[in-house]
Amino acid sequence: MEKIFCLFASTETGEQASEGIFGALGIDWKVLIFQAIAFGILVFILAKWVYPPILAMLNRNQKLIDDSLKAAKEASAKSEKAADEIAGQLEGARKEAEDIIKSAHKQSQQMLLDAEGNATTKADAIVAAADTRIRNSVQKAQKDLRDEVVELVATATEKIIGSRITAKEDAKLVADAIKEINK
Amino acid sequence: MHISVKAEPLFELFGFTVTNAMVLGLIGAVFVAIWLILVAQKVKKNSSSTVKGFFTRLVLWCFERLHRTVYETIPNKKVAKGVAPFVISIFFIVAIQYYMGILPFVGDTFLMGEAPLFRSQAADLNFTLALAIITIVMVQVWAFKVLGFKGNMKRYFVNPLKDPIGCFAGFLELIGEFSRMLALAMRLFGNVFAGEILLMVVISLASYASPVLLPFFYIFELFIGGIQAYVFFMLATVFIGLAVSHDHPAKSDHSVEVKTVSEISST
Repeated sequence: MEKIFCLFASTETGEQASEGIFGALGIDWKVLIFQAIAFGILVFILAKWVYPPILAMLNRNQKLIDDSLKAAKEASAKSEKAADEIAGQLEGARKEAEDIIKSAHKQSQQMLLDAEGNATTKADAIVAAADTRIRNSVQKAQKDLRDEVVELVATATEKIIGSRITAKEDAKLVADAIKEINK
Repeated sequence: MHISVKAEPLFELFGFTVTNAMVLGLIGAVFVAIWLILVAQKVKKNSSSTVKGFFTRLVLWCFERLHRTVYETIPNKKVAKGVAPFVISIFFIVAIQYYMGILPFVGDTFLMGEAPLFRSQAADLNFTLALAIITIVMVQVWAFKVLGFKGNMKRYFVNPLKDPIGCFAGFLELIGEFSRMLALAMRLFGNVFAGEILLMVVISLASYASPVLLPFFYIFELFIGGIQAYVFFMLATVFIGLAVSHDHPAKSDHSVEVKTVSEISST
């Protein structure tokens, strides 16, 4: 360590101190001007042949980044639009499906109602027909029964009275009897 | 161990004394020029957006950041466009000259007579002072260009009867220009010189352990070199920015407005 301090101390000689501050620091105006000119030349070289291509590349890259950002934004906007369109279409389809289901439901209900109505009408018709047929059968049976009763009455009367009355009287008697029965 | 505050003369060339700092400085300058021209050629040939190579990309990255910083610091776009090549060159030149100084062959390895053959140019006050003078001259050139002769002079000379405080502030501003110049020169010189001495002291003290210890100090020096180059660049930019925006106090609030390269170049 002592050696180092000695070395430091040895750098400042009395000779240097006598050169003045500029001399002690090694400032030489000729060297200073040389350095300044050399620096100027270097700056000129760099400004002329180095910076323009680098700047052009940076601008190109920046433009690329800007374009990419723009394209990404556009793509994002397009995808959003497409998503909206899809959502709209889905909504429309859902609505349509709902309408179809609703209308199918309505139609099926109508069909059921119609079928029910038809069935009821048919059943009514069948019942009415059966009723008519029954009524006719009853009427026919009544008529047959009446005729048979008339016949029987006539036969019985003939047997009781013992003599045959005329057909005109017979008919009159039967009609009166029937009237009595109907009352 | 050889320590000298000033660069040592090696030989005379046409009556001009060539120092050891000038020798390494010349090598450094040629290296900077060739390297950056090669990078530019590589960039020019490359049509794609990316360039291969770590150092090429490092240069491009540095350039982009520095370029953006210039436009963010100087509100006047025309001035920023003119100033950018100058201040960015300062960064690259100072950084390379600083790093040249910590190369293993710099110092006592090669001697010419008693003086080392190579010495970092940034450790020569002539170089740092020349840079500082050029910077302050550029500040004045841009100030005259933007503010005009009268406008620039008003920064320093104010009628004491009308505005005594302004007059005093102007006087301080005038002194400030010289102190800025000296500070720029001394800061860089001091850092580089101290860095070199630090490495020499570490080598001397660590002796055989120096191969283990030195890498850490080299990394430290690499860091300091980058910082110093950036500080010089930033101060030069700020001085010019302040000078040209002197009549627009509202614009010189150093607010950072982030701009893209295309926005910057379109102005």
